[in-house]
Amino acid sequence: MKFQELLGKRILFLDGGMGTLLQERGLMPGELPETWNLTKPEAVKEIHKAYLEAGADIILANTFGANGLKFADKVGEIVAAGVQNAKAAVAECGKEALVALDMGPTGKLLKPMGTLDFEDAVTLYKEVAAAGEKAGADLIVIETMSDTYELKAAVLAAKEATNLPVIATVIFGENEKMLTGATPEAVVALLEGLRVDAIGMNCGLGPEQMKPIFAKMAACASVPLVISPNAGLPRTENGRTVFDVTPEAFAEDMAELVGMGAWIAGGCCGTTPAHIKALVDKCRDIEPQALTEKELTVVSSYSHAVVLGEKPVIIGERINPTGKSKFKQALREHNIQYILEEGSRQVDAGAHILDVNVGLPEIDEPTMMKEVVYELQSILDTPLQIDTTNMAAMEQAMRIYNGKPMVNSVNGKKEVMQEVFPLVKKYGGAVVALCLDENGIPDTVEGRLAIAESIYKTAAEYGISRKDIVVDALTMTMSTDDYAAQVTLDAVKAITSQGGRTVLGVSNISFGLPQRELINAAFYTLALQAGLSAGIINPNAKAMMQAYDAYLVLGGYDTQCMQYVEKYAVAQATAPAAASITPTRLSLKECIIKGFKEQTAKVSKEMLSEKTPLELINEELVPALDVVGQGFEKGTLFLPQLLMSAEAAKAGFEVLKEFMQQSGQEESKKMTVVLATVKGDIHDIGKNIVKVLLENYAYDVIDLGKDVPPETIVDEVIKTKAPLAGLSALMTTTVASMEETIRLLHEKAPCCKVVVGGAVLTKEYSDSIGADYYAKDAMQTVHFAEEVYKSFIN
Amino acid sequence: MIDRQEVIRYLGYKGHIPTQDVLDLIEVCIKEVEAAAEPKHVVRRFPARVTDSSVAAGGLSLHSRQLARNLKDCKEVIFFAATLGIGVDRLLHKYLKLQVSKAVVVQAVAAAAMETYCNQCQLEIEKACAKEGLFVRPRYSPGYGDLSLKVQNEFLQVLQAQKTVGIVLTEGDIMLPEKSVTAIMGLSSVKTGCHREGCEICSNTGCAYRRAK
Repeated sequence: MKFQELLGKRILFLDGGMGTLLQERGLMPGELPETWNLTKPEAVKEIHKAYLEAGADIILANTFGANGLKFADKVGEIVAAGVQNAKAAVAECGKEALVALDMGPTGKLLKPMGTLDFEDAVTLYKEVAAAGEKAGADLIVIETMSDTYELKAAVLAAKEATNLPVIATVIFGENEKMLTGATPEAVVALLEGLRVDAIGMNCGLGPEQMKPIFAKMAACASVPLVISPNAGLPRTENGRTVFDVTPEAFAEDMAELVGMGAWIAGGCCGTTPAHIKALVDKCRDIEPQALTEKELTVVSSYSHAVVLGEKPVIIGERINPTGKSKFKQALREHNIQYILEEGSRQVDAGAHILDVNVGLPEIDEPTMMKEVVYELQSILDTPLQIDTTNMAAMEQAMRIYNGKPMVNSVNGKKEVMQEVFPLVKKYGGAVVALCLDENGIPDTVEGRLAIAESIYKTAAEYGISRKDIVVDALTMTMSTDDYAAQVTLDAVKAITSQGGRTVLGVSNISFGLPQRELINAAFYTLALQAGLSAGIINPNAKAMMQAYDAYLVLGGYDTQCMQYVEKYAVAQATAPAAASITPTRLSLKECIIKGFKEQTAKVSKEMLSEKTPLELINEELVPALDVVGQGFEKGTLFLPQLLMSAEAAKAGFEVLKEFMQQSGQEESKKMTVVLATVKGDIHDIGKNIVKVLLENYAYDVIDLGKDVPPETIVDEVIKTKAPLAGLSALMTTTVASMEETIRLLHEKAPCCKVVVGGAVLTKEYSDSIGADYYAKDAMQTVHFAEEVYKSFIN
Repeated sequence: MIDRQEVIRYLGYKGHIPTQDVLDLIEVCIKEVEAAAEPKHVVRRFPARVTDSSVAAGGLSLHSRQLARNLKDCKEVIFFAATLGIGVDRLLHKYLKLQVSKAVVVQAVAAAAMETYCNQCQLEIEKACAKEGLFVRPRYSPGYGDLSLKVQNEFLQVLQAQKTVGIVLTEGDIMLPEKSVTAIMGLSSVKTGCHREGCEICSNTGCAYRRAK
């Protein structure tokens, strides 16, 4: 009997709660339940048997919390024993049932919010999955997950380490979200993309509370669904957790959930063999609902899903070096912040998805793409479109992406499809399909449709359905062909009428023409009218957003024109007011002291006609910084203002830097300073404050981030010959690793001075751990850096 | 309701009044923190055995004279864990990357919001316990005084805090999400003095964030 053969033939039943039953048999609080696989196998088997007797078709081995973090090198043994106990119970009962390897959360939070690296999580799960398969598990159940990123790591591990079928279920709260923010639609997109065999929800809620959330999953999922509720919501009574839903009431609600489309049903916390028996008795004869293909084209982030083919979607095009010298420079200088700001601005302007292209011949594109995707998804909840022709970059980005990405792109060329489709099959994704092939770009509608058709067909051979193909009918420039727009628009119309999804890079239409936005906006409107699902545009371009907003009104997507009125009526009302409060012109120095960022940039630009960058730095910027720095130290001005001024100064420096580069001058930096928050510590706000200030004073700051091992810091100091390293630690528990870092630095890089700071530190404390200097605030770090610099240049 | 005065105190103003720009920024950050926060808490109530130097409850044995003194005459305790959720960490992380001045204010706002939330939770617990004629002692957290931070792991396991509210520990026993609190509250039929003590009782009188008066 195999899982896939049974699936859908009849309702399949999982077992119920394990933890409480183990506690009844003497498991102590704090004792790891999985140790009983070895120490008390009979007690574990007894529970399995009770569920088998109750009618469970699939029992979960007692391996939920088994991983290398908790059991180190014993994990294989614990897992094997868990699976073997379950198999022995099946054999002893004489029933036909399947044994699932159970995989729960690691117990750690993944980076960047936590400390566990994504690939390390994959490795931990692989170890468990491989041991489970080897011990004879029939399938893998990944359950009780509350973070999509960890969920993705577990699924990839299960698929890469074994050939077993995979079920995955997550916890939703009553707010209908996972703890890390994902909606049911986002979870379905992710898991369907990863080709999980059956998906659903467990734990957290009782069957009654699960209904509205389960309905949302059922509305968008095209794969079999699983449900395992708790026996209601927990409460405590005399120190014990109790659940109130009786077996009969549980079965009653479950019958409804099965009727809503669940193919696999079981129980979680608080459910007992009696609950499972009642469930089996009640639902055994219900026919599984037929699966329906939902035909939704969806991409997702860690938090939400974006559907293509309903309301038109905006894909922001600005993260792309093509034709942008500043962007290219940012890539060469590894200036990730510049790219993040570009992303953030587009989201603020209204982008629903961000295209990410970081291709530049002289950089390592896979590494850069991976880093940019990782950083973008840590600050923005917008789904990303991975845009590259470098297959290594595409795969690495798709792998670490926390959701189902949009992929840009595939085309009708056989070798390209052979490279891209396996990645889409493995990691999931909606893929942009360009209507070109070995013979170039057809100039007829029919020609482009034929290529789209051949791409659909090839995708199907890989198990990728039409809904995950978004056709790009290709925008050609008007300046070379009077009918370019018409062909593209007709192709969009034709694909839309066949139920397909479309995307266009809009701005190419006006290449070589003056006042390009005029043409772009008009073409965009026509494309939207032709049915365009998603336009790749610049959301910061006013004309484009106006075209979009107006189309939403005219196309009936903006109910009672509410969004339009809100945006444009308010804009009109406040525009003159904003103009009237523009202050009289301040000097550059005053702008910085007041912390006016935009104005600082503006005035810097203006003053460059009167003075050289060096004069402005010496006469305006540095004196302004000194004024706020002194105010901060005297206690007349406080941290938020100090930082607002620092950020304003930075905006000024950026202007000067650009000017100097254009006139071929080198920007001069004083010396390198390496900053890090030490190993074990994840609070890096203080370190980031120091960074901003040191940069203002022309130091070349290398920020290694948080939770940084001593060796990494030492290596970087040696590599860059930095005369100064700054370390921060917030907790008493992490000062030990600060001490270790200082010791290692003094040993391996004796020329490097070490300055330390952090909430728990004092002068005495920092002396005792061997630091060269203790900075009680960010300004003191600057003073110390100036001291080190003086001796460095002498 | 987030206490503006507390936010300003956390920003290190020591009784000074921020400029209008900063006050405006505080309001913006309050809105963003409120939108990002998903406050959650979990409580479990256990019978407790309190000696001079230890407390046994919920299957844990906690060695701490100060906690034992705090729980004198208590027959029961409440184990409590609360968090603002990972959304606030994300917000903080975002501004640490994009605009540190805002990160600093978000951090202060979140600290004040956490305090407010814990106080609200405590009030609810006090109300519920009052019906049974019980008084609730001040919150006492792992890591305070002579109660080792090492108990944090078992304490969170007893509350199943990862599953219920999403709190996990780093290897260094730091809680994530960052704005999370664990505490023990004693229940007793004996009313003690002022039950809400704040940072005023701390011996570090030179602290930049000390509450005025």
